[in-house]
Parts: sequence; C-alpha cells; structure tokens
Amino acid sequence: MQICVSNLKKTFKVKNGRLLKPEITEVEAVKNVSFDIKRGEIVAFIGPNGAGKSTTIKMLTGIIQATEGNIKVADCDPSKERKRLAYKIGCMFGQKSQLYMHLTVRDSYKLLCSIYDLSKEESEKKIKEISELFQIENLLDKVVRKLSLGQRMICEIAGSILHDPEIIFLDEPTIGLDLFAKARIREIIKKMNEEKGTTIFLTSHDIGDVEALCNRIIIINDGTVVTDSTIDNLKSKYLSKKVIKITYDASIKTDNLKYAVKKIEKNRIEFTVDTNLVNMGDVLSYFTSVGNIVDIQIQSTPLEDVIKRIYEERG
Amino acid sequence: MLTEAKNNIKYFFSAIKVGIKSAMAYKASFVVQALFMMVNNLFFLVFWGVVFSKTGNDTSISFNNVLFLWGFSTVSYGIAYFFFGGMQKINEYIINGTMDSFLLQPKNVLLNVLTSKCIFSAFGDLLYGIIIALIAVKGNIGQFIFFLVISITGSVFFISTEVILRSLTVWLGDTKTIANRYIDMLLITFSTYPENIFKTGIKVLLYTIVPVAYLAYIPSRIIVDLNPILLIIIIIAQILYLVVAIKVFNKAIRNYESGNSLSMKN
Repeated sequence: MQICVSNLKKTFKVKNGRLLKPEITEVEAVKNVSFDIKRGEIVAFIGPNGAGKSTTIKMLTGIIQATEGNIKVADCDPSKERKRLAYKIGCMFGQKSQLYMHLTVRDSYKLLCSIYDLSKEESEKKIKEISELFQIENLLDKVVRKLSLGQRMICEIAGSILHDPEIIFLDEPTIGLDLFAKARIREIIKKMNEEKGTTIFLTSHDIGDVEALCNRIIIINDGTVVTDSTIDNLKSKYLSKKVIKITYDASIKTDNLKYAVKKIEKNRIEFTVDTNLVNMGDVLSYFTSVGNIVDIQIQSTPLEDVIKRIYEERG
Repeated sequence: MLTEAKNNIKYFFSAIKVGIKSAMAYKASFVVQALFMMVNNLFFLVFWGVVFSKTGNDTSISFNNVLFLWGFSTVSYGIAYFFFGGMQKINEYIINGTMDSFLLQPKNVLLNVLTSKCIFSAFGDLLYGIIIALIAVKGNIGQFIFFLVISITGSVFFISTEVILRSLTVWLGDTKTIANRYIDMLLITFSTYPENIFKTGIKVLLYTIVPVAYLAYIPSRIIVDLNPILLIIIIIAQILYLVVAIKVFNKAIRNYESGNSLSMKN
C-alpha cells in the first residue's frame, strides 16, 4: 500500500474573542478517517466545503500534525519524516502557487530542482523532459505573473513532478479554469498516471474531474468517510435508475403497456426503469415491438446528484 | 548530515540568485529604493556632523564613534534584510497558510522561509554601511575585519529577533505590528545613538528589554578597542540567541494550523 491511514483525527483549538481568560473550545475537523491506497491508483477524495478534505491532505503531506491516528505515505511517517517524504510526493494546491511570480517558468523550475538537490545537468534534462511531456516549451521563458490561469495551473502541475514523485496530491487542480484548460489538465494527469505509474490523490468540487480521471472515490462528510467505493460500484448502486425517452413516428397505444409510463406526449413517452430489477435489453425490445422508434434517449442520474444524495443520506 | 549541510548551502546560493533576479525584474525600482535608503541614511550623518561642528567632539563621543555605529547598524541590517528578507513575512506565511509550500519541500523550513524574499532597500543600507566603515577605519585593515565580523553578528541579532517575534503569531495572532514597532522604533533607533548619551535608567533598559547593547554598544567597544575576548563572547551570545530563535520557530511550525486563502509567492 502506498498510503495507509487509520483512525485519523484532527482537533483544532478555537479561542473565543475575550482578551483575558479566553474560552477555548475544541473543533473536530477530522473525526475518524481510515483508508488505504495502492500504487498507481487515481483516487478522488471529495466532500462538501468544511468536510475535512484539505485538513486530511495536510496531515498526509506533513504540513500539519494529526491529533490521533496513524499515517504512512510512501513508507514515511509524515509527522516525523517530513523531509524524506517531500522527495517522494508532489503537491499542487490550486489555490497556492509554488512558482515565483517575478521569475520565468524556467527559473522557477531551476530553483525547484535545486530544492530537490538535482545537479545543473539533471535539472536541465528534467525541465526539457517535463516541458515536452506537458507541451509547455513555449511557456518556459515567460514570466509567471504573465501566464493565464490555465497556463499557470499546467506549469504548476509540471513543477510538482520535476523530482519524479511516487504520489501526487492535487487539491482542486481545475479550479477557475475554462472547459479547454480543464480537459488539458485532465489529459495531463491521466498521462502521468499511465506513463509514470504515479499514484494520484485528487480533491475536486468538479465532478467532471472525478468522472474523467478516477477509478475510486472516497467521500468525506463532517470529518468522517461516508463512502469508499470504485466509481463503477457507486454507479451501479446509485445509478441503476435510468430515465428512458422514446419518440415514435406516430402515436402508440398506451393502455396496456407492460411497463409503467410516467409521461405521454403525442408520439413521445418517458419512463423510469431500475436496471437492478429489469433487464434493459428486454425493456428495449418490448418498446421496439410497440411502434417504429425515431429517437431514443437513456439518461443516468448525474454523479453530482448521486453524491448529493450520499451527503444527505449519511451526512 | 554533511551532505544535507552542503545541499542547504547550495540551495542558499540558488535562492539568493533568485532573489537578485527577482530584484532585477524591476531594475529601476531596485536602484531607486537602494539609492533612497542611502540618501535617507546620509541625512542622519549630516545631522550628526552639524551637531559636532557646533559642540566639538565630546570626550566620550566622537564623530568617528557615530560613523562606526551607523556603519555596523546599517551593514547588519543590510545583510539581514537583503539576504534573509523572508523573515519579515513569517507572520504572513502563518496567517494566510503560505507556510504550506515551504513545509512541502525537503529543505530546512527556516532557511527556506528566510531566503524567500530580498528587501531591495536593504541593499542600500549594506552599501552605505560599508562606505561609512571604510571612512571610519581610516585604513586600519584589522579594524575593518573586526567591523565585518561584528556586522555579521549584528545581522544574526536582527534575524533572531525577527524570527522570534513573528513566529509568536502562531500563539498570539498576527504579531506584525509588535515586530515592526519593536525593531524599527526601538532597536534601530537606539542603535544609531552612542551609549554615553543615555542615563543609567535607560541604559538598564538597553541591556535588558531592548537589548540594543548587544547589537550596537558592545560591538562598538570591540571595534574601537579591537578586543578579541569580547568579540568571542558576543559571537557565542549571538549563536545562543539564534538557537533560541530556531527553537521558537520549530515549535511554532509544530503548532501551525495552515489556512486556505488564495495566495502566491513573490
């Protein structure tokens, strides 16, 4: 296992406004989180604002100390081996930059390489390799502050893997980006995972990121893991209900239909089936026999709605 | 251990190079800030020159003493704030959560934070102080070497004080105002006046609560008397003070709670 987390807890002390004898209350940001992640997995770690996602990532990366529990990341204890761990992980926090505003991307990368003790030759080789992988050769000599948000995000991700980390933590990597930039970043993340076998631990409020990239999802709410499942399992469990809309070339008789139809409009019908209870093939062949189909639409519940349902059920 | 020290030194030079490159990104601003700081400092010496021309050299205070005081105060300040200007941002890094990026890197966090920023105007102080010292030593090479060593201990004093005061942000909330007031209004102000002009009550304060004595007065005596014993004592004292500062910083980092505000390194 590359990441092992068991019974993780984090409590913050909050002082009230009184200057003398302030009242100190304890707030449990993370209550009892446990999970394991294998090498090469792409895992989405999602939850609503204030659920404990960022706090958990910060404990995994050694930024803050856990109040209780055990963490092993790439065989290191983040609270005791911060420096050793830093060589093995890469982090990209969408809201914070590791590049230097006044320098060119190349100079920022050079300094990052020096932070990871790469020699001058190694640095140059690495910068060339990464810039080719990310297709950012044309951005290398631009000053960071002059990059667009999308360009900066791509350069940030590239900067976070200059030292060939085993695991990458991505916190909101597509925040504030347009559709094209999002697609580009997703493509890059996928490529890193496929070509280098890098384990990806991703948090995002954008379900598109999760659907496009991840094979596993961990949902956290109120400091507790509420779901830990593969995306496929989650879909078959929560996405078994399909909404089917069929348009015929003429009106059909709806009096004795085998399946309950929710909506009938002239030559168009709409109904819901649960694929756990009925066979989709049977349903489609039945409705094909009723009339001449012009158009057919089958819709799943969006993953976003599923997650919303999970928050409501278990939150 | 030795490799780590070697890597840290290598990183220090890379970071300084980056700091200077950042400064060069705004060449005009860099030159103007440094130049204005030199002019600003020069005015104080003109003022002292006028005072001495009216009153003549006191038996215990000479214009040369004042030159030395200004020399190593400004060189100490210049070294500390030009090369390690990031110390002034410790409170900010703690408050807005930017300390995260330093904690994610495999380097000594304090060194990484200290070298994260160069304060351009401090280069003016550094240059100005060296010119003043060259005038004050009147060709005495030994005195100039003592001056340089003392200036380095002075910069350690500035760094340690900044690190301690700004690290307290973790427990007290933003200590920016406390640190700025204490250093600018007390330490720097008092360090540019000769010790002899103060009465005993004030002197007690200057050896305890506002320990300017270790930053300016004792070093001043060391340079004038070329006293190697006192020099060794002050070096040891500054190293101990730095150790305390490192301990306070590390304790603050253990208690750091991070944050989520939008920010960018500069």
